[in-house]
Amino acid sequence: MTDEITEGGAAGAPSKRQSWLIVPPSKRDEIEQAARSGADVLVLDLVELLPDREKSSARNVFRDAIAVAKAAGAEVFAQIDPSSAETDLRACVWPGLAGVVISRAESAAQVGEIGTLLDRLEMERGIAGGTVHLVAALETARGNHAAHDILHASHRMFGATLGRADLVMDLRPEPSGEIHLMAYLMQRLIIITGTVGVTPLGAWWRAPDRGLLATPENTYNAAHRGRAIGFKGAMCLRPEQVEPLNRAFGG
Amino acid sequence: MSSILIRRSNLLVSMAERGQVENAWRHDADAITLDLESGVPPELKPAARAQVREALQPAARGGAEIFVRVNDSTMSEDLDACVWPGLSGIMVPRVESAADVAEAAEIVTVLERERRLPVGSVSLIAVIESAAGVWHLRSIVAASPRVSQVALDEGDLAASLGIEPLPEYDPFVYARGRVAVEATAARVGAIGMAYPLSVRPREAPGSEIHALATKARNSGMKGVICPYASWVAPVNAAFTPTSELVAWNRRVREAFAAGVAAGTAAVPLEGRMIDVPVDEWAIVVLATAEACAARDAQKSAAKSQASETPSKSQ
Amino acid sequence: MNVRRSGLTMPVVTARFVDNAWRRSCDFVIIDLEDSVPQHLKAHARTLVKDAIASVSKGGAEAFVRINHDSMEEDVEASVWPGLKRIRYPKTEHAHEVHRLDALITRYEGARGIEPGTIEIDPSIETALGVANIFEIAAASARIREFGAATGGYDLSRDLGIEMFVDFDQFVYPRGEAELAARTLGLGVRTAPFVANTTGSVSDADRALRQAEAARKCGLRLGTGGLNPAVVENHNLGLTPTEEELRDAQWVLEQYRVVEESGAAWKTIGERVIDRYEAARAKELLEWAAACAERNREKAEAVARVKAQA
Repeated sequence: MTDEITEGGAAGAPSKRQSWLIVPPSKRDEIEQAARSGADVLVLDLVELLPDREKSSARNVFRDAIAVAKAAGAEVFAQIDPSSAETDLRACVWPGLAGVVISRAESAAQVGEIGTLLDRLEMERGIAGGTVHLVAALETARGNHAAHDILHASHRMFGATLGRADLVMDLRPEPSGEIHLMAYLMQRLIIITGTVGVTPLGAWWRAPDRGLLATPENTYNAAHRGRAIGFKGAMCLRPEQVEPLNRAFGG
Repeated sequence: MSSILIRRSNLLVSMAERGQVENAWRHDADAITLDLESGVPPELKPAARAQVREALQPAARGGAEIFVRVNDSTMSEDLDACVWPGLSGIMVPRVESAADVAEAAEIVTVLERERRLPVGSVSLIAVIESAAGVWHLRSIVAASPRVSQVALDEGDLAASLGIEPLPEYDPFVYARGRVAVEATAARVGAIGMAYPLSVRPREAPGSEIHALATKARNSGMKGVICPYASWVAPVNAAFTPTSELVAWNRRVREAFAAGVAAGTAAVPLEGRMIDVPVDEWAIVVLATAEACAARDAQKSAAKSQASETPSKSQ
Repeated sequence: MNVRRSGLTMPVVTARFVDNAWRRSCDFVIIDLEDSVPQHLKAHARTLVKDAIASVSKGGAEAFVRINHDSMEEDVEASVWPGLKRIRYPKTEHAHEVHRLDALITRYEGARGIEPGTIEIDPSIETALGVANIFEIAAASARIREFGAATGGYDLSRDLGIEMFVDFDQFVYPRGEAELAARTLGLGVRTAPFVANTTGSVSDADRALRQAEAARKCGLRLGTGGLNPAVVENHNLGLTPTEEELRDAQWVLEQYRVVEESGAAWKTIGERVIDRYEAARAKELLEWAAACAERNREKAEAVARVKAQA
């Protein structure tokens, strides 16, 4: 269930957005498989899953990728790199796109710039104004530090997620089995998203194994725990993680 | 050293429960809060409000400070009904901003003046129940010199965030830590219980309440709001330095003084290193113990007087 | 890369501590003018700092000084000498305190022929107000290169009104805020995961090892120091990568070369993920291990020189 519309939150988000499956946009068979997984949202990724030299071809096939994903009934978001915001947005903002995940979001200024680009592209491409949503991926310390300002910076903001990037050490095991700063940042994020009125989404679930390889059972357990502390959904990387996420966050 | 506020237990009783209100004084709480808010069903609120003034002084028979928890939606009417002699303070719920505190403080000031109460005598306990309140804590605790304590209502916070907490995953370590730090930084007392009773209070054996209240104290809390009378005794005990602790801290002071006289401020004692901060903490513990004893003596004296004086309920 | 795994804080007025500090294998020594020096000896203490800096550094340790909160100028004047690497300022609560200290250090560096910017500032957070202002403090000076909050601390405990040495983590919030500030500002992170200390002992070598190992396994590099020589060796050991970790790091780098050559962004091998984040971490681990080895060599040579002169 999406949150009610509040001052900071995005308007008009009718569908359930609990399971978010991240997929590279250029491989049609992967998109089709992802679409069959039952994920609420497919996130077509221009940032993490592609080596740099495949990125320009990925942009070219984006429009088709949206169609494939939507045909299976999922909403489609794109994950973009704010340092190439204009190029990435030009490639992915087409009718049918529900929103954009800003990878490594670090400042309100970035969000402002992206919001302005979206205004223009919506107008150019016949998309109802203001309807493309945003999710800020807070993957660095700086992003987390500025979280309140970042999330407050646009009426398009639907949610926030924690990434893993340069909180790099946190992927190592520690005596408690927890990623030490991540647990702190998760609880802090719940307070900030609650203050601003946007939806907190989980990170690439990894407890106790790495997100890319989390077994369905561990995905469920991590999601169950995330829900118990306030998260409303989560991102994942493998189709077999989707059903456990839906089960953990649903009902 | 400035005087230490001893308000270990604050017993919450609904103004709709007459028996509880009349007997509240017997439980030895340092403070009693007469509730006009969530403990009173909406249809009973007008009657409760009408009765609160008369309840103030009898409730203080055992020496407790007397608070009233008002409704934020009927703040003026509630304050008008209870800011009278015998009122120690107001518990303000759902505080999200400094403005919420200021609003209550202003009304109280006007009423104190009108009713010839010493201006500033009515203190405030701010109750935080939302993420925004947690986030804006600093401005809230600084919003008025009347704010003496701040509490986090974790049950309401969970509800506002759509969280159904599980006992094994405490969702509010950050929030609680923030309350303790920001309150302490502003020289305001943070109050609250440890998890999971902080989010789902219930009756429990005294030893369990004592253990969790001790954990709350060691998390920076200065007292606990008690929704049940059975919590009061174990909470009082948990927030009172034990005789062993007092004895240890006396030894610390002696050892440190001897060390300083001999030219060092780092003195080994029973496996620990005693330096300036350890000695300073000993001073605090000993002063707290004294203040607790004084408060207990005050309450005893009030109770003796109460039993000697025939009361209307007998 | 600074290697600061182990350190001892000692009162400058206790000659036997200062004279023997060089033997302790510390990466750093904090010469104390503050809480371990009684009030009536502080003026005398200031006269001892210059020689103490030279003395504690003999075995290769970096010399730091902890000054007093309320006598900043006199203490800085007494401490800024060649050989001093850092000043710890206790109970920091506001950025302006750091600004003032920065300016004083600059003045005395200039007056005493020390390369400007040599001396670092370590603002110590020991009160709730310091925690509340933590970001502005950490950001207050370019002399601040590392930052952290204690995993337990007498002063912060006193300020919060809590008994220490309990079995749960009482400092999640201060530590989290400190680490977030440090990482946001690109400073070295000086912290450690919670390892219960229920005795208050300052000489528990086992616990010291467990805490240092826990820190190393999180990728933390900076030791939090101690009060008793018994913990030094285990602080050094616990924060230094093991042979097994080094072999694994080398393997990760080899595998990542294969990934890159194949044109992919990542791959999995059994349970392991090999991607650019893992590769970067492996590379950093090898650099850290090399820095540790170099530091150990430096210290051993320094100690040998001292003994040869005896």
